[in-house]
Amino acid sequence: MTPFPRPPDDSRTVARTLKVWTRRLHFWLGLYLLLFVWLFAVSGLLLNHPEWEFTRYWPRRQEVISRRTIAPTPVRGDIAIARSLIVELGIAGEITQVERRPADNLLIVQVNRPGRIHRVEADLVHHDAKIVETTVNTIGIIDVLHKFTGVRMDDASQQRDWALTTIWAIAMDGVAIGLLALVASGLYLWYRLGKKRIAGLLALVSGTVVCACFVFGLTRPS
Amino acid sequence: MRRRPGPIYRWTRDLHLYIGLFISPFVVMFAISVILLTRGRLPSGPPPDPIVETLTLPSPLPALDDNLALAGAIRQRIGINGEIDFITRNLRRNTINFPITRPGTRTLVRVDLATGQVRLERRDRGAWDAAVWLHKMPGPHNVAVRGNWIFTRIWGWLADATVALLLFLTASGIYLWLMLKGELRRGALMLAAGAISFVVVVVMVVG
Repeated sequence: MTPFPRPPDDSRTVARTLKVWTRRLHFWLGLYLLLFVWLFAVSGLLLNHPEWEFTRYWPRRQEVISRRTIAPTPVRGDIAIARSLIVELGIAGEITQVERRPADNLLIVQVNRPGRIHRVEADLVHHDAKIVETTVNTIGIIDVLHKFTGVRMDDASQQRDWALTTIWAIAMDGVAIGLLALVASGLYLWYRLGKKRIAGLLALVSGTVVCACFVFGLTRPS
Repeated sequence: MRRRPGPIYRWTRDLHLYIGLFISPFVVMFAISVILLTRGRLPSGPPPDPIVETLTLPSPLPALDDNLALAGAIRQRIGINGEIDFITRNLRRNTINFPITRPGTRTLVRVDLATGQVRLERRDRGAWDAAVWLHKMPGPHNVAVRGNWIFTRIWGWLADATVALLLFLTASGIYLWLMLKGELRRGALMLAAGAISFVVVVVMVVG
């Protein structure tokens, strides 16, 4: 007796297609994020090892001091004046500090971008500004790129005010979401490898236990 | 007939799998904390009011000039484990203040060294803050005292290991991709697209 040909098993086809596309997503995403992952991984390592001599970029910084005449500003409020001032002086970056020193008639404005810090001491009465431009080396740039978010956990008043800080923060979020997708797709691909489930489970559980000990286990004071 | 992959390929693939599975919880923790850090706030909201407690040191302190040693002796006497952070000692007032931090908890310790009176202000912020704390530790600041708690040191080693293993995963991933002959072109396109995005955004931000 000749058996009827077996109808295609839809669920197996779907599972196979899902596996093929998950695999593609896994390595396409990994390749796309490669340089970003290298940057954040290496900069994280450098940040954790300030004792390594070559990571000490701050003592090797270069400073250039200049003076400029500034125009009277029509705007009011320190933040608005600071923004107007940096536009007039042609400085681009994230404003990280605005401080008024009434005794000296000074408005201090600090503007940061990776590799470069401008500190402007503007005398709004005499329309004069002292500008200190600090530049750091490549290690310093890498260091700042790791942390350049424009916001601070301990200071809710600090908001991003430079479009490129927002773009960089979006890039950081994108890398983080991409890594989460890599983990999720990796877990799925491992699950589909029937033979390696037990050994993989041991690796996953041991990593989870160690990580959870730190995230949850050390929270309460003794 | 399909050719059986060689031992180097099989070893690399297995190591990629098992190491990837081991560090995946760490990668998840670091990725989630990045999203919190770029927002500058926690889902749990602003920090709660501190729980304030006063007590007297149970035994006198030894005369110590070294601030970290003194803070360590106080930490031992008040029984709070954690990383001692920036220490402020006022010799004129004979006081010492320092925070003791640990994942999710920060306790500010203020001690009157003349009377032995201690004021503790503790803020518990939970697992979100723990992830942020771990992301930043050990970090570049306060090098002179950093790692004064055993778990900060262990975490530092784990963070280094996560970086080293992540770099291994990228290298082994490239090797595994190169072995997939049918995906070379599309993979190269993704690599090139990623490299172009990276260069463009870094050049724009750095200037």
